[in-house]
Amino acid sequence: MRTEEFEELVRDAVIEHADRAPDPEATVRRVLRVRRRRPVLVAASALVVVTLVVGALAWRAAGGARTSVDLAAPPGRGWAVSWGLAWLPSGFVEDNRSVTVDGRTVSRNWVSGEARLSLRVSVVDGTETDHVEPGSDDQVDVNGRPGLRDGDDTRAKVVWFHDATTRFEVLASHLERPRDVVVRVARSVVPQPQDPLVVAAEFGTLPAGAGPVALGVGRTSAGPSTFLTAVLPGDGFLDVELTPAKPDLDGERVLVLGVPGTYSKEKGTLTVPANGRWLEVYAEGEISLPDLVAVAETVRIAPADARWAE
Amino acid sequence: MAFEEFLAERLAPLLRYATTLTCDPHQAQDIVQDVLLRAQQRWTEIARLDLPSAYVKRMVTNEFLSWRRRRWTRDVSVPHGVMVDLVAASADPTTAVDDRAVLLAGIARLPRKQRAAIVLRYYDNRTDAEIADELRCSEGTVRSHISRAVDRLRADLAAGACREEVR
Repeated sequence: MRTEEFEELVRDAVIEHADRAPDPEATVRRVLRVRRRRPVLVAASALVVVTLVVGALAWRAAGGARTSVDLAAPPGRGWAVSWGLAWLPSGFVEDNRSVTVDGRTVSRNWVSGEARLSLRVSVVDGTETDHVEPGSDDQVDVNGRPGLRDGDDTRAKVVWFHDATTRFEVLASHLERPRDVVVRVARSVVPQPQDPLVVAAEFGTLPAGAGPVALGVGRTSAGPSTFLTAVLPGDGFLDVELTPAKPDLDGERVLVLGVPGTYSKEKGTLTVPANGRWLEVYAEGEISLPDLVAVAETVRIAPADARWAE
Repeated sequence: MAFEEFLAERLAPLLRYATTLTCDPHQAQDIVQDVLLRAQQRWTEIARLDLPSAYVKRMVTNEFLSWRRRRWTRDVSVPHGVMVDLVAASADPTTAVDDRAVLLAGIARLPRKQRAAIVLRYYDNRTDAEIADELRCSEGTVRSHISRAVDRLRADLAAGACREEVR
Protein backbone atom coordinates (compact mmCIF):
# COMPACT_ATOMS: atom_id res chain seq x y z
CA MET A 1 0.00 0.00 0.00
CA ARG A 2 1.37 3.41 -0.95
CA THR A 3 2.20 5.88 1.84
CA GLU A 4 -0.41 8.40 0.71
CA GLU A 5 -3.08 5.73 0.65
CA PHE A 6 -2.06 4.46 4.08
CA GLU A 7 -2.06 7.97 5.57
CA GLU A 8 -5.50 8.64 4.14
CA LEU A 9 -6.77 5.47 5.81
CA VAL A 10 -5.29 6.54 9.15
CA ARG A 11 -6.92 9.97 8.80
CA ASP A 12 -10.27 8.32 8.09
CA ALA A 13 -9.86 6.08 11.11
CA VAL A 14 -9.05 8.87 13.60
CA ILE A 15 -11.92 10.94 12.22
CA GLU A 16 -14.21 7.97 12.72
CA HIS A 17 -13.05 7.74 16.33
CA ALA A 18 -13.79 11.47 16.68
CA ASP A 19 -17.29 10.96 15.28
CA ARG A 20 -18.02 8.76 18.30
CA ALA A 21 -17.47 11.67 20.70
CA PRO A 22 -20.12 12.02 23.40
CA ASP A 23 -22.83 14.64 23.35
CA PRO A 24 -21.40 17.98 24.61
CA GLU A 25 -24.64 18.81 26.40
CA ALA A 26 -24.11 16.07 28.95
CA THR A 27 -20.61 17.35 29.73
CA VAL A 28 -21.86 20.94 30.02
CA ARG A 29 -24.48 19.86 32.53
CA ARG A 30 -21.93 17.89 34.58
CA VAL A 31 -19.36 20.69 34.60
CA LEU A 32 -21.79 23.46 35.44
CA ARG A 33 -23.48 21.34 38.13
CA VAL A 34 -20.15 20.80 39.88
CA ARG A 35 -19.23 24.47 39.45
CA ARG A 36 -22.36 25.59 41.24
CA ARG A 37 -21.50 23.33 44.15
CA ARG A 38 -17.89 24.37 44.31
CA PRO A 39 -18.17 27.35 46.72
CA VAL A 40 -19.90 25.07 49.21
CA LEU A 41 -17.30 22.36 48.68
CA VAL A 42 -14.43 24.80 49.05
CA ALA A 43 -15.92 26.22 52.21
CA ALA A 44 -16.59 22.75 53.57
CA SER A 45 -13.10 21.60 52.65
CA ALA A 46 -11.57 24.62 54.33
CA LEU A 47 -13.68 24.05 57.41
CA VAL A 48 -12.60 20.41 57.66
CA VAL A 49 -8.94 21.26 57.17
CA VAL A 50 -9.10 24.02 59.78
CA THR A 51 -10.93 21.73 62.18
CA LEU A 52 -8.43 18.95 61.66
CA VAL A 53 -5.46 21.28 62.06
CA VAL A 54 -6.87 22.81 65.24
CA GLY A 55 -7.69 19.37 66.55
CA ALA A 56 -4.23 18.09 65.75
CA LEU A 57 -2.55 21.06 67.42
CA ALA A 58 -4.60 20.51 70.57
CA TRP A 59 -3.82 16.82 70.48
CA ARG A 60 -0.13 17.46 70.05
CA ALA A 61 -0.16 19.95 72.90
CA ALA A 62 -1.64 17.23 75.09
CA GLY A 63 0.70 14.46 74.04
CA GLY A 64 2.86 13.74 71.05
CA ALA A 65 2.73 13.54 67.31
CA ARG A 66 1.78 10.40 65.41
CA THR A 67 3.16 9.57 62.01
CA SER A 68 0.90 6.68 61.06
CA VAL A 69 -2.81 6.05 61.33
CA ASP A 70 -3.78 2.93 63.27
CA LEU A 71 -6.75 1.46 61.47
CA ALA A 72 -8.78 -1.30 63.02
CA ALA A 73 -9.67 -4.31 60.89
CA PRO A 74 -12.68 -6.60 60.77
CA PRO A 75 -12.13 -10.36 60.97
CA GLY A 76 -10.74 -11.72 57.72
CA ARG A 77 -13.21 -13.53 55.47
CA GLY A 78 -12.25 -16.13 52.91
CA TRP A 79 -13.65 -17.06 49.54
CA ALA A 80 -12.72 -20.12 47.53
CA VAL A 81 -10.62 -19.60 44.43
CA SER A 82 -11.26 -22.84 42.59
CA TRP A 83 -10.67 -22.09 38.92
CA GLY A 84 -7.72 -21.01 36.84
CA LEU A 85 -6.38 -20.86 33.33
CA ALA A 86 -4.32 -23.56 31.68
CA TRP A 87 -3.30 -21.10 28.98
CA LEU A 88 -2.46 -17.39 28.98
CA PRO A 89 -0.94 -15.26 26.22
CA SER A 90 2.73 -14.65 26.94
CA GLY A 91 3.64 -11.72 29.16
CA PHE A 92 0.55 -11.73 31.37
CA VAL A 93 0.89 -11.74 35.15
CA GLU A 94 -1.88 -11.94 37.72
CA ASP A 95 -2.65 -8.43 38.96
CA ASN A 96 -5.49 -8.88 41.43
CA ARG A 97 -8.14 -11.18 42.84
CA SER A 98 -11.42 -9.84 44.10
CA VAL A 99 -14.89 -10.77 45.23
CA THR A 100 -18.12 -8.83 45.03
CA VAL A 101 -19.53 -7.79 48.39
CA ASP A 102 -22.38 -10.28 48.05
CA GLY A 103 -19.75 -13.02 47.74
CA ARG A 104 -21.30 -14.34 44.55
CA THR A 105 -18.60 -13.44 42.01
CA VAL A 106 -14.90 -14.16 42.37
CA SER A 107 -12.60 -12.53 39.79
CA ARG A 108 -9.02 -13.12 38.78
CA ASN A 109 -7.37 -10.48 36.62
CA TRP A 110 -4.17 -10.65 34.61
CA VAL A 111 -2.42 -7.76 32.89
CA SER A 112 0.33 -7.16 30.37
CA GLY A 113 0.93 -3.46 29.85
CA GLU A 114 -2.47 -2.03 28.95
CA ALA A 115 -3.83 -5.43 27.96
CA ARG A 116 -6.09 -7.22 30.36
CA LEU A 117 -7.68 -10.62 30.88
CA SER A 118 -10.30 -11.47 33.49
CA LEU A 119 -11.93 -14.68 34.68
CA ARG A 120 -15.13 -14.23 36.67
CA VAL A 121 -16.95 -17.12 38.29
CA SER A 122 -20.40 -16.34 39.65
CA VAL A 123 -22.97 -18.26 41.61
CA VAL A 124 -26.35 -17.59 40.01
CA ASP A 125 -29.88 -18.64 40.79
CA GLY A 126 -30.40 -20.88 37.80
CA THR A 127 -32.71 -18.64 35.84
CA GLU A 128 -29.89 -16.73 34.15
CA THR A 129 -29.10 -19.55 31.76
CA ASP A 130 -31.51 -17.75 29.45
CA HIS A 131 -28.66 -15.37 28.64
CA VAL A 132 -27.13 -18.00 26.38
CA GLU A 133 -29.68 -18.79 23.75
CA PRO A 134 -29.02 -21.37 21.06
CA GLY A 135 -28.66 -19.73 17.71
CA SER A 136 -27.73 -16.32 19.07
CA ASP A 137 -25.45 -14.14 17.04
CA ASP A 138 -22.07 -15.45 18.17
CA GLN A 139 -22.37 -18.77 19.88
CA VAL A 140 -19.11 -20.59 20.61
CA ASP A 141 -18.32 -23.99 21.99
CA VAL A 142 -16.53 -24.00 25.34
CA ASN A 143 -15.47 -27.60 25.85
CA GLY A 144 -18.90 -28.93 24.94
CA ARG A 145 -20.92 -26.16 26.57
CA PRO A 146 -22.60 -23.35 24.60
CA GLY A 147 -21.04 -19.96 25.19
CA LEU A 148 -21.98 -16.52 23.97
CA ARG A 149 -19.28 -14.27 22.60
CA ASP A 150 -19.55 -10.49 22.32
CA GLY A 151 -16.90 -8.07 21.24
CA ASP A 152 -14.92 -6.38 18.56
CA ASP A 153 -11.24 -5.92 17.75
CA THR A 154 -10.61 -4.04 21.02
CA ARG A 155 -12.61 -5.92 23.66
CA ALA A 156 -14.35 -9.24 23.81
CA LYS A 157 -15.92 -11.61 26.28
CA VAL A 158 -17.33 -15.11 26.42
CA VAL A 159 -20.07 -16.13 28.85
CA TRP A 160 -21.11 -19.71 29.52
CA PHE A 161 -22.56 -21.89 32.25
CA HIS A 162 -20.67 -24.71 33.85
CA ASP A 163 -23.93 -25.89 35.40
CA ALA A 164 -27.26 -24.35 36.28
CA THR A 165 -25.80 -22.23 39.08
CA THR A 166 -22.22 -21.53 37.98
CA ARG A 167 -21.67 -18.82 35.41
CA PHE A 168 -18.27 -18.16 33.84
CA GLU A 169 -17.14 -15.03 32.07
CA VAL A 170 -13.79 -14.42 30.38
CA LEU A 171 -12.98 -10.88 29.24
CA ALA A 172 -10.09 -9.61 27.16
CA SER A 173 -9.23 -6.08 26.17
CA HIS A 174 -6.49 -4.06 24.52
CA LEU A 175 -4.65 -7.03 23.05
CA GLU A 176 -4.31 -8.55 19.59
CA ARG A 177 -7.40 -10.37 18.26
CA PRO A 178 -9.38 -10.38 21.52
CA ARG A 179 -12.29 -12.30 19.95
CA ASP A 180 -9.99 -15.22 19.20
CA VAL A 181 -8.01 -14.95 22.43
CA VAL A 182 -11.07 -14.86 24.63
CA VAL A 183 -12.33 -18.17 23.24
CA ARG A 184 -8.97 -19.86 23.64
CA VAL A 185 -8.70 -18.61 27.21
CA ALA A 186 -12.26 -19.74 27.96
CA ARG A 187 -11.49 -23.24 26.72
CA SER A 188 -8.44 -23.34 28.98
CA VAL A 189 -10.42 -22.74 32.20
CA VAL A 190 -9.74 -25.65 34.54
CA PRO A 191 -10.39 -26.54 38.18
CA GLN A 192 -7.34 -25.12 39.88
CA PRO A 193 -7.74 -24.88 43.65
CA GLN A 194 -5.75 -21.99 45.05
CA ASP A 195 -5.31 -20.57 48.51
CA PRO A 196 -8.58 -18.90 49.44
CA LEU A 197 -8.92 -15.18 48.83
CA VAL A 198 -8.77 -13.78 52.36
CA VAL A 199 -9.59 -10.13 52.87
CA ALA A 200 -10.09 -8.20 56.09
CA ALA A 201 -11.59 -4.90 55.04
CA GLU A 202 -14.85 -3.00 55.07
CA PHE A 203 -15.98 0.55 54.51
CA GLY A 204 -17.12 2.69 57.40
CA THR A 205 -18.59 6.02 56.29
CA LEU A 206 -19.40 6.39 52.61
CA PRO A 207 -20.78 9.47 50.82
CA ALA A 208 -24.54 9.62 50.43
CA GLY A 209 -25.72 7.40 47.62
CA ALA A 210 -22.48 5.41 47.42
CA GLY A 211 -22.39 1.66 47.81
CA PRO A 212 -19.63 -0.92 48.30
CA VAL A 213 -19.05 -3.21 45.34
CA ALA A 214 -16.03 -5.42 45.80
CA LEU A 215 -12.92 -6.15 47.82
CA GLY A 216 -9.74 -7.96 47.05
CA VAL A 217 -6.00 -8.33 46.99
CA GLY A 218 -3.72 -6.76 44.41
CA ARG A 219 -0.11 -7.15 43.41
CA THR A 220 2.20 -4.16 43.83
CA SER A 221 5.92 -3.75 43.29
CA ALA A 222 6.43 -4.11 47.06
CA GLY A 223 4.04 -6.98 47.75
CA PRO A 224 0.31 -7.59 48.15
CA SER A 225 -2.16 -4.81 48.84
CA THR A 226 -5.72 -4.87 50.15
CA PHE A 227 -8.36 -2.91 48.28
CA LEU A 228 -12.02 -1.99 48.46
CA THR A 229 -14.16 -0.53 45.70
CA ALA A 230 -17.43 1.41 45.85
CA VAL A 231 -19.58 3.09 43.26
CA LEU A 232 -20.52 6.75 43.61
CA PRO A 233 -23.68 8.42 42.38
CA GLY A 234 -23.38 9.62 38.80
CA ASP A 235 -21.17 6.85 37.43
CA GLY A 236 -18.15 7.55 39.63
CA PHE A 237 -16.22 5.13 41.77
CA LEU A 238 -14.12 5.08 44.91
CA ASP A 239 -11.09 2.89 45.50
CA VAL A 240 -9.39 2.40 48.87
CA GLU A 241 -6.09 0.56 49.00
CA LEU A 242 -3.70 -0.35 51.80
CA THR A 243 -0.43 -0.82 49.98
CA PRO A 244 3.19 -1.51 50.92
CA ALA A 245 4.38 0.42 47.85
CA LYS A 246 5.27 4.01 48.70
CA PRO A 247 3.05 6.22 46.55
CA ASP A 248 3.63 9.64 45.06
CA LEU A 249 3.12 12.12 47.90
CA ASP A 250 2.63 15.30 45.91
CA GLY A 251 -0.25 17.48 46.98
CA GLU A 252 -1.61 19.63 49.75
CA ARG A 253 -1.20 18.59 53.38
CA VAL A 254 -4.30 17.09 54.99
CA LEU A 255 -4.69 15.55 58.42
CA VAL A 256 -6.33 12.15 58.77
CA LEU A 257 -7.02 11.21 62.39
CA GLY A 258 -4.30 13.69 63.31
CA VAL A 259 -1.71 12.17 61.01
CA PRO A 260 -0.33 14.26 58.15
CA GLY A 261 -1.28 12.95 54.74
CA THR A 262 -1.42 14.48 51.30
CA TYR A 263 -4.24 15.20 48.90
CA SER A 264 -3.56 15.54 45.20
CA LYS A 265 -6.41 17.29 43.48
CA GLU A 266 -4.87 16.44 40.10
CA LYS A 267 -5.01 12.73 40.85
CA GLY A 268 -8.06 12.75 43.09
CA THR A 269 -6.06 10.81 45.67
CA LEU A 270 -5.77 11.16 49.43
CA THR A 271 -2.72 9.36 50.88
CA VAL A 272 -1.73 8.79 54.49
CA PRO A 273 0.66 6.41 56.29
CA ALA A 274 -1.36 3.68 57.99
CA ASN A 275 -0.64 0.37 59.68
CA GLY A 276 2.97 0.41 58.54
CA ARG A 277 1.84 0.84 54.96
CA TRP A 278 0.10 3.52 52.91
CA LEU A 279 -3.61 4.13 52.72
CA GLU A 280 -4.74 5.58 49.41
CA VAL A 281 -8.28 6.80 48.82
CA TYR A 282 -8.85 7.46 45.16
CA ALA A 283 -12.06 8.69 43.60
CA GLU A 284 -13.39 9.49 40.19
CA GLY A 285 -16.64 11.38 40.37
CA GLU A 286 -18.33 13.96 42.47
CA ILE A 287 -16.87 13.61 45.93
CA SER A 288 -15.56 16.31 48.24
CA LEU A 289 -12.32 16.31 50.21
CA PRO A 290 -14.23 16.06 53.52
CA ASP A 291 -15.93 12.95 52.19
CA LEU A 292 -12.57 11.45 51.18
CA VAL A 293 -11.20 12.18 54.65
CA ALA A 294 -14.26 10.59 56.25
CA VAL A 295 -13.76 7.45 54.16
CA ALA A 296 -10.08 7.27 55.17
CA GLU A 297 -10.82 7.79 58.85
CA THR A 298 -13.52 5.14 59.10
CA VAL A 299 -12.37 2.36 56.79
CA ARG A 300 -11.43 -0.87 58.57
CA ILE A 301 -8.68 -2.68 56.76
CA ALA A 302 -5.74 -5.03 57.36
CA PRO A 303 -2.63 -5.70 55.28
CA ALA A 304 -2.98 -8.46 52.71
CA ASP A 305 -1.26 -11.81 53.02
CA ALA A 306 -1.16 -13.54 49.66
CA ARG A 307 1.74 -15.61 48.40
CA TRP A 308 0.73 -15.28 44.76
CA ALA A 309 1.14 -11.48 44.95
CA GLU A 310 4.56 -11.43 46.59
CA MET B 1 -14.07 35.25 26.73
CA ALA B 2 -16.22 33.95 29.57
CA PHE B 3 -15.91 30.32 30.59
CA GLU B 4 -19.46 29.61 29.41
CA GLU B 5 -18.65 31.08 25.99
CA PHE B 6 -15.56 28.89 25.82
CA LEU B 7 -17.69 25.85 26.58
CA ALA B 8 -20.18 26.76 23.89
CA GLU B 9 -17.46 27.25 21.26
CA ARG B 10 -14.82 24.70 22.13
CA LEU B 11 -16.38 21.81 24.04
CA ALA B 12 -17.46 19.79 21.01
CA PRO B 13 -14.00 19.91 19.36
CA LEU B 14 -12.37 19.07 22.69
CA LEU B 15 -14.59 16.02 23.12
CA ARG B 16 -13.82 14.91 19.56
CA TYR B 17 -10.10 15.32 20.19
CA ALA B 18 -10.29 13.44 23.51
CA THR B 19 -12.24 10.64 21.83
CA THR B 20 -9.55 10.20 19.19
CA LEU B 21 -6.95 9.98 21.97
CA THR B 22 -8.83 7.57 24.19
CA CYS B 23 -10.78 5.67 21.51
CA ASP B 24 -13.46 5.54 24.21
CA PRO B 25 -16.23 8.16 24.44
CA HIS B 26 -16.84 7.45 28.14
CA GLN B 27 -13.21 7.97 29.08
CA ALA B 28 -13.08 11.02 26.81
CA GLN B 29 -15.98 12.58 28.65
CA ASP B 30 -14.37 11.91 32.04
CA ILE B 31 -11.07 13.41 30.94
CA VAL B 32 -12.61 16.52 29.41
CA GLN B 33 -14.82 17.05 32.43
CA ASP B 34 -11.87 16.81 34.83
CA VAL B 35 -9.84 19.21 32.70
CA LEU B 36 -12.66 21.75 32.46
CA LEU B 37 -13.24 21.70 36.19
CA ARG B 38 -9.60 22.54 36.73
CA ALA B 39 -9.57 25.10 33.93
CA GLN B 40 -12.55 27.01 35.25
CA GLN B 41 -10.80 27.50 38.59
CA ARG B 42 -8.02 29.38 36.79
CA TRP B 43 -10.17 30.79 34.03
CA THR B 44 -9.25 34.42 34.63
CA GLU B 45 -5.61 33.53 34.03
CA ILE B 46 -6.28 31.16 31.10
CA ALA B 47 -8.60 33.62 29.37
CA ARG B 48 -5.76 36.14 29.19
CA LEU B 49 -3.61 33.79 27.10
CA ASP B 50 -3.37 34.29 23.34
CA LEU B 51 -4.90 30.88 22.69
CA PRO B 52 -6.93 29.61 25.64
CA SER B 53 -8.24 26.74 23.54
CA ALA B 54 -4.70 25.51 22.78
CA TYR B 55 -3.88 25.64 26.48
CA VAL B 56 -6.93 23.63 27.46
CA LYS B 57 -6.30 21.18 24.65
CA ARG B 58 -2.82 20.58 26.03
CA MET B 59 -4.38 19.94 29.42
CA VAL B 60 -6.50 17.24 27.76
CA THR B 61 -3.39 15.70 26.17
CA ASN B 62 -1.58 15.67 29.51
CA GLU B 63 -4.59 14.24 31.29
CA PHE B 64 -4.83 11.43 28.73
CA LEU B 65 -1.14 10.59 29.07
CA SER B 66 -1.33 10.46 32.87
CA TRP B 67 -4.73 8.74 33.14
CA ARG B 68 -4.58 6.12 35.83
CA ARG B 69 -4.56 2.52 34.80
CA ARG B 70 -6.31 1.34 37.92
CA ARG B 71 -9.75 1.80 36.49
CA TRP B 72 -8.98 -0.67 33.73
CA THR B 73 -7.40 -3.31 35.91
CA ARG B 74 -9.80 -3.26 38.80
CA ASP B 75 -13.19 -2.60 37.30
CA VAL B 76 -14.64 -5.58 39.07
CA SER B 77 -17.95 -3.77 39.16
CA VAL B 78 -18.56 -3.66 35.43
CA PRO B 79 -22.24 -4.49 35.07
CA HIS B 80 -23.27 -7.28 32.76
CA GLY B 81 -24.42 -5.00 29.98
CA VAL B 82 -21.46 -2.65 29.86
CA MET B 83 -19.34 -4.67 27.50
CA VAL B 84 -22.30 -5.06 25.18
CA ASP B 85 -22.91 -1.32 25.29
CA LEU B 86 -19.28 -0.60 24.52
CA VAL B 87 -19.35 -2.97 21.62
CA ALA B 88 -22.56 -1.52 20.30
CA ALA B 89 -21.03 1.92 20.40
CA SER B 90 -17.87 1.04 18.62
CA ALA B 91 -18.25 -1.92 16.33
CA ASP B 92 -19.50 -2.47 12.88
CA PRO B 93 -21.29 -5.80 13.32
CA THR B 94 -21.15 -6.63 9.65
CA THR B 95 -17.43 -6.18 9.38
CA ALA B 96 -15.31 -8.96 8.00
CA VAL B 97 -11.79 -7.63 8.05
CA ASP B 98 -11.55 -4.36 6.23
CA ASP B 99 -8.78 -1.86 6.45
CA ARG B 100 -10.81 0.75 8.23
CA ALA B 101 -11.91 -1.59 11.00
CA VAL B 102 -8.38 -2.95 11.37
CA LEU B 103 -6.98 0.55 11.76
CA LEU B 104 -9.69 1.62 14.20
CA ALA B 105 -8.80 -1.27 16.47
CA GLY B 106 -5.08 -0.93 15.86
CA ILE B 107 -5.04 2.73 16.87
CA ALA B 108 -6.90 1.85 20.07
CA ARG B 109 -4.19 -0.67 20.95
CA LEU B 110 -1.24 1.67 20.44
CA PRO B 111 0.70 2.76 23.54
CA ARG B 112 -0.54 6.14 24.70
CA LYS B 113 2.32 8.30 23.48
CA GLN B 114 2.35 6.65 20.08
CA ARG B 115 -1.41 7.10 19.85
CA ALA B 116 -1.16 10.75 20.88
CA ALA B 117 1.52 11.34 18.25
CA ILE B 118 -0.62 9.68 15.56
CA VAL B 119 -3.66 11.73 16.54
CA LEU B 120 -1.72 14.98 16.56
CA ARG B 121 -0.23 14.18 13.16
CA TYR B 122 -3.24 12.80 11.32
CA TYR B 123 -6.16 14.41 13.13
CA ASP B 124 -4.64 17.76 14.03
CA ASN B 125 -2.20 17.95 11.09
CA ARG B 126 0.64 19.07 13.38
CA THR B 127 4.31 19.15 12.39
CA ASP B 128 6.97 17.15 14.23
CA ALA B 129 8.04 20.32 16.05
CA GLU B 130 4.49 21.11 17.15
CA ILE B 131 3.91 17.54 18.32
CA ALA B 132 7.20 17.62 20.24
CA ASP B 133 6.08 20.80 21.94
CA GLU B 134 2.70 19.29 22.84
CA LEU B 135 4.18 16.05 24.16
CA ARG B 136 7.20 17.78 25.73
CA CYS B 137 9.74 15.58 24.02
CA SER B 138 12.28 15.94 21.21
CA GLU B 139 11.38 15.89 17.53
CA GLY B 140 13.44 12.71 17.23
CA THR B 141 11.24 11.06 19.83
CA VAL B 142 8.15 12.17 17.94
CA ARG B 143 9.49 10.63 14.72
CA SER B 144 10.24 7.45 16.65
CA HIS B 145 6.71 7.31 18.12
CA ILE B 146 5.12 7.82 14.73
CA SER B 147 7.43 5.41 12.96
CA ARG B 148 6.71 2.64 15.48
CA ALA B 149 3.00 3.32 15.39
CA VAL B 150 2.95 3.24 11.61
CA ASP B 151 4.89 -0.04 11.59
CA ARG B 152 2.39 -1.59 13.98
CA LEU B 153 -0.60 -0.35 12.03
CA ARG B 154 0.87 -1.58 8.76
CA ALA B 155 1.51 -4.95 10.40
CA ASP B 156 -2.11 -5.01 11.58
CA LEU B 157 -3.28 -4.30 8.05
CA ALA B 158 -1.06 -7.02 6.63
CA ALA B 159 -2.35 -9.52 9.20
CA GLY B 160 -5.92 -8.50 8.42
CA ALA B 161 -5.33 -9.02 4.73
CA CYS B 162 -3.93 -12.51 5.43
CA ARG B 163 -6.97 -13.44 7.50
CA GLU B 164 -9.23 -12.18 4.74
CA GLU B 165 -7.46 -14.36 2.20
CA VAL B 166 -7.88 -17.41 4.43
CA ARG B 167 -11.61 -16.76 4.58
